[in-house]
Amino acid sequence: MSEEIQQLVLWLIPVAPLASAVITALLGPKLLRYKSHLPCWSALAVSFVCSLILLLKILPSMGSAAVDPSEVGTFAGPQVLVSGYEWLNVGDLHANIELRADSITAIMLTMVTGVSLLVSIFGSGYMSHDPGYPRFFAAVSMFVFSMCMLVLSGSFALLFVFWEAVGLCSYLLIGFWYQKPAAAAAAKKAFVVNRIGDFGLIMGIFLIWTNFGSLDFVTVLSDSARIAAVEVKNPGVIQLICFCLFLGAMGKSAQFPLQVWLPDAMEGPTPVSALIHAATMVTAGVYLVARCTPLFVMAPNAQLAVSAIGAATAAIAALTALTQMDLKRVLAYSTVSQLGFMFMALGCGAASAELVTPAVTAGMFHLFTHAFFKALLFLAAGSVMHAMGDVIDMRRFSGLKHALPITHWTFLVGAAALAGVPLLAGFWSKDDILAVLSEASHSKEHGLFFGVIWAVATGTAFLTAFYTFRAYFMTFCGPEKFPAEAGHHPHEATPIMAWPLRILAVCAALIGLAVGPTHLFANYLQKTMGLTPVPPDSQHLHWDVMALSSVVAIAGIGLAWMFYVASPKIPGAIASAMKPLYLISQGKFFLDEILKALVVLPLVGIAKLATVFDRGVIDCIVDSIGAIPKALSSIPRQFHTGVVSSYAGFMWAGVVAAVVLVLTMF
Amino acid sequence: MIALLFITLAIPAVTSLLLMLFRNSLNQSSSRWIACCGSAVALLFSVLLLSQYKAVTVDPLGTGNIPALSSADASSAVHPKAEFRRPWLATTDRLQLEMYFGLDGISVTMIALTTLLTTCSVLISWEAIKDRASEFYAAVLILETGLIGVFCSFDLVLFYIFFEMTLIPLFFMIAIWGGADRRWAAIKFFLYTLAGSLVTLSGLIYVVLYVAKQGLVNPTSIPALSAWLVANPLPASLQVPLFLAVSAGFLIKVPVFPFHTWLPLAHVEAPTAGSVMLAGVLLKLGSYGFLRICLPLFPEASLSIGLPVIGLLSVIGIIYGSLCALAQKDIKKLVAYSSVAHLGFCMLGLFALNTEGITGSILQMINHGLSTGALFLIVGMVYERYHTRMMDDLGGLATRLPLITVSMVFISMSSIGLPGLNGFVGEFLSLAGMFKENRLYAALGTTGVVLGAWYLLTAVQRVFFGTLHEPHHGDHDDEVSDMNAREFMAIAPLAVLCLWIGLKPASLIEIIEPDVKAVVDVLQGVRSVAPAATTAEVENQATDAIVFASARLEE
Repeated sequence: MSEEIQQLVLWLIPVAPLASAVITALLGPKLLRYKSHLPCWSALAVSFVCSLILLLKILPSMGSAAVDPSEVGTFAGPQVLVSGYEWLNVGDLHANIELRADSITAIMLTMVTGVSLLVSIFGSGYMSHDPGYPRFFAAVSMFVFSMCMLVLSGSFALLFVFWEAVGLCSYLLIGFWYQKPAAAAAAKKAFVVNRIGDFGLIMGIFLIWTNFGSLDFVTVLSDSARIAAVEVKNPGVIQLICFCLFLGAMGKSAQFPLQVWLPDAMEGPTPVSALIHAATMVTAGVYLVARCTPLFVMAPNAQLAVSAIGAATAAIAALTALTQMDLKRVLAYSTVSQLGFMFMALGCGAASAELVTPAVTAGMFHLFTHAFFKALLFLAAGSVMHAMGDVIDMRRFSGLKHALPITHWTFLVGAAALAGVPLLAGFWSKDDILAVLSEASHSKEHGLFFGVIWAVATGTAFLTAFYTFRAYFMTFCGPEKFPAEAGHHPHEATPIMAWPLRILAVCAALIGLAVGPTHLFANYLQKTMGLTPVPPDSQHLHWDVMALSSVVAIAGIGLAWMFYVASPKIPGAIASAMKPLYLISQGKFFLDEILKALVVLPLVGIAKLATVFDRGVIDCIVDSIGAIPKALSSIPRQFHTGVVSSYAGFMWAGVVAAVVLVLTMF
Repeated sequence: MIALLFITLAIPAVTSLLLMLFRNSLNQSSSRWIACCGSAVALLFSVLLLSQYKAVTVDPLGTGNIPALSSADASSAVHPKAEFRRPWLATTDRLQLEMYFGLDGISVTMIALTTLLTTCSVLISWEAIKDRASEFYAAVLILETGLIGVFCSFDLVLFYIFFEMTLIPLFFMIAIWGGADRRWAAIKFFLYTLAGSLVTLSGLIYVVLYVAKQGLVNPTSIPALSAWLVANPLPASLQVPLFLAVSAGFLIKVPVFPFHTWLPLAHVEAPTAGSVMLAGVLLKLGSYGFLRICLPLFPEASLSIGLPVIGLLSVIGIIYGSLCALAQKDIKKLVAYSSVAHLGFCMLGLFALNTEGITGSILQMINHGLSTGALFLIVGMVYERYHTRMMDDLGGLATRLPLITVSMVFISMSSIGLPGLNGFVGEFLSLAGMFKENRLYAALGTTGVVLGAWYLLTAVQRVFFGTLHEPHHGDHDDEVSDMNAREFMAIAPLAVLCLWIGLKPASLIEIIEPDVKAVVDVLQGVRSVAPAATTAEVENQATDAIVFASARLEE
């Protein structure tokens, strides 16, 4: 394929959605109206096709001959570079608009454009009567553009630009129904909490810039000798950089304690939750950490922190999900929990150098499969919501399997994939993570640490199966019950909503089997810059781990069946027996309240204090200084009484004084 | 090019003269049309000026062969690219004072910003100013004249005259057309900034006399003075006190914490046009003064005192201003405090004293002018409709005012530094520049990015989102309409520029780059020569400076 066509293909991936966003934003409200999905659909289709061409045709044809393999410590793989224009070029700071694609980019792009195409098709059915229809598609197109650019960025500077841009789109889409106070508040919360993470990312970028003298991925990441040299020059700096970058990842990927924004983000339209807050944007943090593997390898403590935070997040979110009654929130907490799984895996490189690549592969594989089944679950939940007249509280409906057959079986596939039922997508990727963790737990140095993480992961996998099927049984099984808002005959998803569900269900069922045990995914991903390919003979299936995780999944599902189908009295009994624990879980570990008490209220207090200080102290000093001349003038003013006789008196005194003076001088 | 400059300078002056002369025969409608035409023509000429400047000086091929365009010494930190010099005031053998108008990249962009914001101010005052309209517009245009004058003055006398000239029209704008507490606000604004600039004046007089005694024949010319001081640096014992004295007026003007308390008051009381001009351009006179006078004349002191002390004050200003903004109930006051924080970024970058920082600082000046100017425009539009600025009285306006809401969200994003819009470029460069010099300051300053998003998005959420909640506004409750064509004309160019600078900052950076380089070269020269002053020395100098400054104040 000629170079021009390659460049064109690469440009089309982000530019098509951008064009759609601009067209829809300008023409949507007046001209396109309820046809606003057309530009979006076609642009996303173009992007998806181009991503596939990149994935299947361009990159495999490149080979890894680009860089001399004899150079020790230089990681390189096939990559495509396309330069745009000079963006910022000041002093030592160089950041240009350019695209760079390698294996990890291609995988992310295909996933992002594919899922967003399906979601946008679903969305046109879901949003069909909304007055903000054009706005929805403009923002979704804008989001896809930003997300594509995020993974196509070849430098930290450009990555940051689109890191923020996806945050903006998320803000606009969470607050889509801006009349709802909860939605407006959730949008702001998401943006501000993300900014806390961005603080870390900016610091990390500055540190990289001052230490490496460049922000380019190739310069910074491709040469391990160079990274080692930087570390020798400033011991500890790589670790600091990693912590800063990870803070950014924690914000975007909703890791403890910054995860508070994601459940609230469910105030947005459900297709948005599926696309941005489950499948794509929230995985940007995972992508960032995976991308910066060469840096993290040099900072074992940072890797341990990544694993530990991941494990804590996964466990806390799973425990919270156990008792939530809002179907979308259960899914949101499960997203947080699954992101925690990905981070757990990414940190495993700390155990031994051989584990680095398998660890990143496992994390990225879970990201990939998760996108499909979680998008599916959200869209199915959206279909439930659509049928139930926007009611999402699981206590208000049940037994929907006859009323909503398509939604039912697609949700079931998604739930089984998430729970890790053997052979479905989630099974393979979760299995990879558990395998990496169990291998890490056998290492000498951090064996105990990873042993604990592995135990947490296995426990969380059990909880995942349980809460997922709790939601499934509560929604689709039991006596048929509809809320009043739904009317008497809830309507099943229209074809335009049903087909994306079906396609995603097929993906959720088969994609893991297709690319997991065949090592297609691993072999492809490992050509990414910064990863050292694992020789094929050392890749094998972990039968023991598989057996265990199958048992765990089945046990979780079985327990959920027992609790919510066989004898539905048990949960209530347990809840009242362990009231405090139940309340903690239902109250989401009171993290919102804790953060409010520890961060928000003190800051607001300080802010109020600052205003008082401003008026009472600083301004007061200024005014007092201003009053000095007036005060000084008050003394001479006493004499200017305006009474002629007193002036005469002063005159007389003056004359006397002068006479006395003259007399004494002689 | 210099002819274009004089035309740009003369148009507002002549227009305001006309407005004053015929004030009795002009009604509201005719005076606003005259002012609109005057400011629009000035804008047109400033854009012509900018494009011609770019054509002459920017070197697209990168050959580096830009012809020397002025008489300034190559070692000077200030190089006007076009100049107009005439003997003035005194011409003896030993002293040749001259008036020195000039243009460099920084001034030419600031002039364009001034004319743009003046036009917006006239448009936004269209309905709001009913009494004594012709006087009002005359004041706006005199203000514009003064501001353009400051930016094209390259000698200290002219600079100071124009600098002070800007005070008077704004004083009247606040005192006559302002809010309830307008008299007090105007007097405080006037006296506070005047007191500061008198200290500056005394410092400048001292420098001029000192250098004249040493033998420089044209000591008021900034380029000549800078070149002279590069060759013959002031002794350290003089440099620091003089730096502080000259800084005084600029510190208050910017304003740097803790000299900012006049600003929220003035903003709240000023009419919308006054706030736009004040925040958009007038505050920049402070940072521009630092850039044009303090850094070139006192490079050592800028490094020894400016970087640590003013850097710290800027950091405090960023955090403190943001916190104060967070606690405000009046949305205009919130924007006013946000200015304190944004100018903190500007000063932080400036006193990083390196290429990244100073470039970022200049961009931040322009960006703050655009985005805060636009924020004041929007606040004005809301006020004009509801006669309140209290956020508690307003809510959910997005339903009623969709276009205004879209602009508000857009401008807020620019103001909180979203990449792709202008605010980010300035903030990022300023912080990056400071990060090279002092990581702690930069890290603390970056927290302002979080706080900025918090207070501004909170304001957006409270006023524009949620359920509709309008105050009672007279008898015609349903007559509140969205943005009209005139208001759109005022805000659209600002929004377009916000996007343009964000997407292609290079088009602006290439204009100012050579001028930044000249300043940085001088500072680098000092850095490489002077050993770092010990802490004790610095402290002594600081004490001296305070004594000196207070002595000056008494004078």
